[in-house]
Amino acid sequence: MARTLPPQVSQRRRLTQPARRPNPRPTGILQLRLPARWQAQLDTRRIRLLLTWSILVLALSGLGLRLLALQLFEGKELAAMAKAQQTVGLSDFIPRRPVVDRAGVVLAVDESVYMLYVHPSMLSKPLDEASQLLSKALNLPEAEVLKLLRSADTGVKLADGISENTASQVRDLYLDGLDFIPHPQRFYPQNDLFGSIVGYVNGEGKGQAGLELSQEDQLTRPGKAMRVRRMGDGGIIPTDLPAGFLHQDDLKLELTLDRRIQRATRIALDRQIQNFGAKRGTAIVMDAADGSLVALVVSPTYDPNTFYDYDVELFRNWAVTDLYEPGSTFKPINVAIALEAGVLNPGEYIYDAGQLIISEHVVQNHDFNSAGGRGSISIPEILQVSSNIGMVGIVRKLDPGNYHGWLEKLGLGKTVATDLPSVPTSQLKTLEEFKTSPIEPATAAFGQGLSLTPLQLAQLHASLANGGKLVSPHVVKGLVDSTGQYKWRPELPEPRPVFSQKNAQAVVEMMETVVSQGSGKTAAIPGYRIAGKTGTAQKAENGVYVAGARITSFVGIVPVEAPRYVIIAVVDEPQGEDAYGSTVAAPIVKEIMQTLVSTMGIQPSQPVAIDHTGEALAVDLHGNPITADAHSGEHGVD
Amino acid sequence: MAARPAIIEPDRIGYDESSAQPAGSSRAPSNVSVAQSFGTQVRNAQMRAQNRPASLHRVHTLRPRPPQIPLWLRQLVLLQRGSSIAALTMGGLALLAYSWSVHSQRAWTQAYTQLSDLRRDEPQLMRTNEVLKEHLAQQAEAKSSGLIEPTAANILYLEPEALRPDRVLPPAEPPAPLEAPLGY
Repeated sequence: MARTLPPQVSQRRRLTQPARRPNPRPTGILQLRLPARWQAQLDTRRIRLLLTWSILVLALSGLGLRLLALQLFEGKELAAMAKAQQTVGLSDFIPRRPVVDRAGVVLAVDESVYMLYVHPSMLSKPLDEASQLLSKALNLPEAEVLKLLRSADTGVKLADGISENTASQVRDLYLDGLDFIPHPQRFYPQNDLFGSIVGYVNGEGKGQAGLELSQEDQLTRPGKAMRVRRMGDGGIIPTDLPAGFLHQDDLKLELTLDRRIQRATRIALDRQIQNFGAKRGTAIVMDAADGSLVALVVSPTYDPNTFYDYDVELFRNWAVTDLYEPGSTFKPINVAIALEAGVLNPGEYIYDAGQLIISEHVVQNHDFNSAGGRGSISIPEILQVSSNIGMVGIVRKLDPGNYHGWLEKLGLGKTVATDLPSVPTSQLKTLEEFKTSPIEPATAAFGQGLSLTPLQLAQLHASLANGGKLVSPHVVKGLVDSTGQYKWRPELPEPRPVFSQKNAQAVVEMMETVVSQGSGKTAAIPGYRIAGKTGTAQKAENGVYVAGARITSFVGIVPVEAPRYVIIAVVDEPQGEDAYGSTVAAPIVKEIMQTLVSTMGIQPSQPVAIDHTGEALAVDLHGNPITADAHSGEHGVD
Repeated sequence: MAARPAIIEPDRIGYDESSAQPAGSSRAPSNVSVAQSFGTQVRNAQMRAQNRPASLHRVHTLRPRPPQIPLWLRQLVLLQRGSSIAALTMGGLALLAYSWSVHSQRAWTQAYTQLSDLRRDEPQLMRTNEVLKEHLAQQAEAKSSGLIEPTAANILYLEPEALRPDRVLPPAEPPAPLEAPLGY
């Protein structure tokens, strides 16, 4: 550093230094000694200051007191009031899970509909104008709306079941004073097509019939109504939401049914019911591999959307709940029992006398009066002509106790394990009756004296089709999420083997001759190997056969080379002389099979030439030439 | 002290410029305190210079020693600086967090509204879709529709062709070596 600074620098610094003022002495206001003029001014200032200060202090203490009052004395009530205002029940209802078919077609879905309340005193427009607008939007008579609006100042219920669309239209009128209360409503898009299976829910959202009743636990989404806090602008405060608030599962109850086959089944069944003026009918299509139902139609049925318009009687799915005597459709089961018990050879011949007297009861073939006794006939022939005496001959080879044991083993006298509701116990005579009265096993031989549901008959025939396993008939596949993962699957009993593969297939091939040469020709489809059995039984009511009342049925299995589907059609009380299993029920099964083979892609067993109507030309399915006679052969009956 | 005339100008002995005063000017108390704070050595040097005979009148340059700040003070200063930075950062973060919380709440509300709208629309769409399908199916059922039901007779089954073995191409002949230069 330089020892001395150049003079110019010092000079400059001196100039730039600000002039120093004496520091004011730190003294309080009151100690100031000032001129009198200033003193007077200061006094006024002091007064003003004091005034301001006291006002502020007063205001502050007022606020403090109010705070004290609010916090200590009114605090609890106010907090409760605020809570009541801020919290709202958010999930007023949790929609039931939808029901879908195997292809994901929705069969039942919850939608929200609104109940509209009007508070006329709060409306933003005069009553007559408002009623005009409302009546237009809601499609109600204007006079009625006006009358309702004039009836009270608040809380007038104007309409119920308003759809989302209509509700938003009404909202767009900006009338104020409108309250939309949402509530769920179950909608069934196919109307009555699945009514007998899916069932319906009542006004409280509880299942009352069908799967809606039996699968209530699966269809109800868990969770209770939650209360959340809302902000001033109506937004939800997300910080203190209850756990699982946002979670709403996307599960659907998937069924094994197929809408296309269900529809074809309904059309085929309804047509024949109409043709024969029948009382009612049912048709079942079952996948024999696992017992899943592809279609189940009951006719007449009801539309679950408007269930309240129908007779309560229709809510019962009689294919599942009503017992009937299966008649001749039970014969193949008896043949399988005899084969499996080892008392019968597939190639054996049985003597058919046409008529038998068993402990004073006369048992005869349905055509005894016209055809008489047939003599020695093969087992396929017994099925083809549906010989009762032939069947008695087969069953008599079995010890009655053993036969009864077999019927029990097949589930007769028990309840079928299924997921459809209200399944009854099938009826079978007691072991005692079988042993002491020879007529009991004899009538059971041709499917009388025992009764089961059409569903159980399908189950028994499925055991022939799938190589001898008794599977559980079911319609519920499981709860599936949107990615196709099953979150729940019904627990079904393990398939129970009852027949050997060889014997089951032997019976199916015998049944094939019923369709190719016997009473089931009306179910034949050129190119396909179809097994079947007709059934026509007199209707029994309270143990007495009703004169002229028949119940006709047909069981079909397709395709014979690899049996997969069992189709059963039962038509109750068809009218007319020509009403038999072969004429009433077999065409239904044929029509269902037509759709089934094309929908499921079942290929013909062997190619045949067909004309434009689908009738075979030149050769039948065994490659034999078809003559006009054989083709239009008479309808077989049993 | 204020009355004592300064013989040596503060500049000469390396005073800080800000505290330098022209000789003869009356010193403000604050200046005195500043001068004092430089320790007694400076003053001693001045005294010595005064009392020294003229022959010995040599001015020594004294360099100021860096101020001796105790360790605890330095640590406190460091702490203060550190905590100021931390406070500032935290203030900033708090602001960010607050704005995020406000924003996320709003975004959440919007998203929730959207979700409830979608949940309301889903069954509506399902319904409309199925109603349309049902309507089409019913139209197809009518005889006048000109549609026929699929039956075994109007379905064509095509046998999938067996996989053909890969065709083996004859090995390509190596190109004949060029005999002439490529070029025209």
